[in-house]
Amino acid sequence: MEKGFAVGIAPFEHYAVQYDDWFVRHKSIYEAELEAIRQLLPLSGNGIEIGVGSGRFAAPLDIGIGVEPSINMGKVARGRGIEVVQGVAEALPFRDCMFDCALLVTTICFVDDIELSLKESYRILKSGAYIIIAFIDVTSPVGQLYDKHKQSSEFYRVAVFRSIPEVISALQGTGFGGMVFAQAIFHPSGGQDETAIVKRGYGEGSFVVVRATK
Amino acid sequence: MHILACPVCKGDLQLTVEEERDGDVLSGSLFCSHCQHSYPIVGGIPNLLPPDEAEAQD
Repeated sequence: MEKGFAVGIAPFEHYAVQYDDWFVRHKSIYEAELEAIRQLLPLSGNGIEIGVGSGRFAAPLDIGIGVEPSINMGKVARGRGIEVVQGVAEALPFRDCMFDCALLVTTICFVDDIELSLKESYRILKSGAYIIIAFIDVTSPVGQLYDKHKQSSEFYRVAVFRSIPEVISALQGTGFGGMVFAQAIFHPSGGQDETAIVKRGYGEGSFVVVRATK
Repeated sequence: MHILACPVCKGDLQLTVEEERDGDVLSGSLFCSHCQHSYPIVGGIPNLLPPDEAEAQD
């Protein structure tokens, strides 16, 4: 049987509340991730989050529209004021050149076809618009930990964690350029307040944000 | 709704409203005349999964 694009969404349908609870239990990490994204996010314009999940990023970042394959996650996001459309990154249900910014936060590890997903993002962005991809670098301490234990995780079992060169190459292959980076999460063992620590560049933090231009 | 397109052919969609509140379409459908496929809107969320994905989830 052919594998569908949304094959990995079952855990999100069943455990939407548990997934959302992670952000409450890991407030310091969540806020550091938000801040790293905020530093590269344009201040205005028509934005969309692809893989909006429960709206934990779109809502505080004032992104009004989200696309999400899991209806139960989408319902939570809608409750946070996001206009949600059920869909997949590989077949975006939007017209060409509609958005000034497309945000993907820990979505790139769940898409089945990274090239097609980026091609679709490129299509819906205006000329000169930004794509912002935030992800856990597979070569980082957190990435190694997640990758090692992913079989025991309801959510990450089907995830394919990516390295920074992989994401850069996929972006370049799609036609994106002008990349800038931010990074966060420098103390994966916990116990540290990560909130205030965001740096430009990559290679130190486990959570990496790349902004590229169409 | 003006930004939406068919996930398969990227063509225009024709909106049918069944229930609306404060300009928010709560239920209805979006029809693609090219693909001859109707995408439902339930609970204010349009289901624009490609038809084979939607079937796989059922």
